Amino acid sequence: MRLTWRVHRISGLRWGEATRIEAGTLHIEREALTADLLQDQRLSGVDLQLVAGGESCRILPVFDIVEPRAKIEPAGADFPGVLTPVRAVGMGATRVLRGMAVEILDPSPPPNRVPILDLTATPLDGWSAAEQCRYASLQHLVVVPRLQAGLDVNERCQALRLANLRAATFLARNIDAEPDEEQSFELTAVDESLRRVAYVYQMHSHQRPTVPGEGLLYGDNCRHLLPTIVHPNEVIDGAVLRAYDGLAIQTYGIQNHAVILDLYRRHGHDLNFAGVVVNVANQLPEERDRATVMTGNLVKYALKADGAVFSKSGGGAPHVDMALAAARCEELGVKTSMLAWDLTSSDDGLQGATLFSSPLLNAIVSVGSNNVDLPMPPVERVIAPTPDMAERYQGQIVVQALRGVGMMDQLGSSRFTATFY
Amino acid sequence: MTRVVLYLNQFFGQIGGEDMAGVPPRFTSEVLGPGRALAGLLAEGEELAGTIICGDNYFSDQPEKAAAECLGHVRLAAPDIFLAGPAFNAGRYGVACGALCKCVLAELGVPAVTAMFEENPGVDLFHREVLILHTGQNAATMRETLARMLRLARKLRAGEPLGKPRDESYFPRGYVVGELAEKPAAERAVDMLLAKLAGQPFETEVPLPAFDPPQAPEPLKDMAHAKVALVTDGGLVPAGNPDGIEVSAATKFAAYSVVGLERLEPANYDVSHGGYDNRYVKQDPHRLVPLDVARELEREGRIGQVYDQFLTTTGLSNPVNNSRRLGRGMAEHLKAAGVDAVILTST
Amino acid sequence: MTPVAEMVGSHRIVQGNGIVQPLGSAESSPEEEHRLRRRIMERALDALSTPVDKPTVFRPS
Repeated sequence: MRLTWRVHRISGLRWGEATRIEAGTLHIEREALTADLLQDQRLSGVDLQLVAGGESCRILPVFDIVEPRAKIEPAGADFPGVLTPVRAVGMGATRVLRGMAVEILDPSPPPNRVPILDLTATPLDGWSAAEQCRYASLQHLVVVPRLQAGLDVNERCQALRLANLRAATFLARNIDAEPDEEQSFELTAVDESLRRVAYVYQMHSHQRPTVPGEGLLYGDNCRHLLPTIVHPNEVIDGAVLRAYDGLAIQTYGIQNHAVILDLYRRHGHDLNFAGVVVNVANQLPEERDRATVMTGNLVKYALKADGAVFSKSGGGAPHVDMALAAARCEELGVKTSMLAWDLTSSDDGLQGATLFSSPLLNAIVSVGSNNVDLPMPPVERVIAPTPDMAERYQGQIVVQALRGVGMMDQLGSSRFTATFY
Repeated sequence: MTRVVLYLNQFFGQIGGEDMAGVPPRFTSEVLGPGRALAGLLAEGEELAGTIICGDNYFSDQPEKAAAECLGHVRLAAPDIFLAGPAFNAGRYGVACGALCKCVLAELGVPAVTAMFEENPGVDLFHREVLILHTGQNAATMRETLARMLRLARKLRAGEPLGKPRDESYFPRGYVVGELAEKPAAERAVDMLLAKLAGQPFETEVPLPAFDPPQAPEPLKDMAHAKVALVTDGGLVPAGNPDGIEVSAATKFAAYSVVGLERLEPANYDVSHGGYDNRYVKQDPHRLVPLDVARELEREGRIGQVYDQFLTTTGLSNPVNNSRRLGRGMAEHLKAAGVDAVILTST
Repeated sequence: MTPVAEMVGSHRIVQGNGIVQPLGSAESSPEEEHRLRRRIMERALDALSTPVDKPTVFRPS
């Protein structure tokens, strides 16, 4: 199963008469895009904004971020099960517009949960904005939606998500230019002596259960997903989406999944990328036990892994699901490492670190801590659903690390880490 | 001249052993005990300006008084740097060193450093406020420890930032600093795994906590006469959350009366907990605090009495130390009320 | 989350019915839910009167 990305490098955005790329600048046909989005009658209106990388600009509340892509082969198989009908993806060719992203804002986020994307803030001393935030130097198309009154929260979220996917796909669909580069992904046969390494991808935590229609895997909401194997190409080619409120994860980060891309990079050199097991963090104890058992079996006996990397989703409780699955793998002789965060506030980093303790779980990487407050100085421009909100967030603000979009990433793309002093 | 002042207990201060642990604080300009090793480590422009000695029992019996008296001596010695111990695994000594360093920092604003073994109770009590270096269990490493203490104290005095606890061998102070690592987390996780697979050394970034469980209480012998309390960390509160129990990392608990109540009416309650979907408990609070069944058991004589109040707090994202404090507070409250057993419900 | 309770050293741990409703079952009828709650509480009483020397999970029958 071989997937090829045909990558176009975008260094600028502007409105134009037709959607096309010219010398690295993407021209966007504003009316056509607007009309495309308003096909969904749950949107009563939409405002589109362009932001240049590194502009003194703050974008909030960010619902999600998507990289513009379009399936070329099979044509039109974009985000199967969600945006388009279910079809196999992860093979063939996909057009990628790299160097830009499409955000959609949430007009009514839950209180105290305002994810903020700031393109110039450098809350950590000594590093540039681009080093601290993966989106800082990208070009941005921001969709500011107005939703019909009377929608329930599920309809609202679905409308927002679809608009985001639709906009991203629109930009890439009709591009006619030759790509700047190609990148291919295939689990080729490699030297037998290389260690087999699997990735266990906890896609979602049902502390906040998914609702009908909130597709995560080929459109299935995975409410009672039993651990299963997917091809890594499927993850990065649109088969997997985040939940509506996926914490410190954006769809962009799944499309460019840091763990998967790193394992691919090393495939045939340092290791043999054995494959991906997907699971969810569960609510009920027997579901958790079942997931533990089945994840262990898949990693050990189906993927025949020598080692496995684990990541998690959601908040604090899913650390336990991840730890139980990893401990089970260790019991079966599979070595593990994990991406985790410090989830307790205030003073005692020594003890607050994790919810679990087993001597076998001794290889844990920190993806950061919510206990770090990120101060951000005033900006020139704020893109928000209302002028009121824009004004409120224009000056000096302090953002909790989890809400600093692009700074903490549970999938491991960020260098942000928490050190206990 | 940089004036270095040292604190020693009665043993290291050459006064005597346990029999002399009650001696009050005194100052000496004599260079004795570890002071000799320390004097040998001082650089050009540094001098050992004096040593304060106090008996371990004198300090532990009346810590505030002893600290104040010692501080008086320290103040007179006008230190630029204050070193206490090292205390190794001597518990009373470690606690005294920590307490005194804390005072010196607060009252004199002078760099104060101590050192002790990880199991010394002084660590748990003072590591947040005081720079405490790791040591082994006994004085075999005295000289090397003093050298490390001196080096870090000099850094503090020069206003230089300290390195990571791991690198400089001190107990983490307990605050989190955001930083950027060399590589993204995904790469670091794969690196760490490859090292583990190859049997090469690696170091976890997230330390695993150690828990020291208490002894299991004896089982209830007389259930039929027992006073049983309902407690929860799921954040059930009266409507409007009158005592402001925080939605995460609660800093307090509260007690609410169930006197005369057979049931908890949903309309009268709310949930202040951001870590789980609250709707089911809001619909029926008994899904979290089972007063209905508790009353049945009371009526049937299975238990003696449901305690007058239910206790509540929010466990979400709560640091272990804070949770311990809350638990202790709840336990004291319940013990004072003659409660025999607790049923604690947790989300 | 019984694994957490075991790990921190709680001695008497009774398995509830999940994170969002430890003593509830919104999917069941009120009678069934009440019976479930009763079973869990009975187990809690059992646990309180059972000697234990290490973290022990009691599962409702």
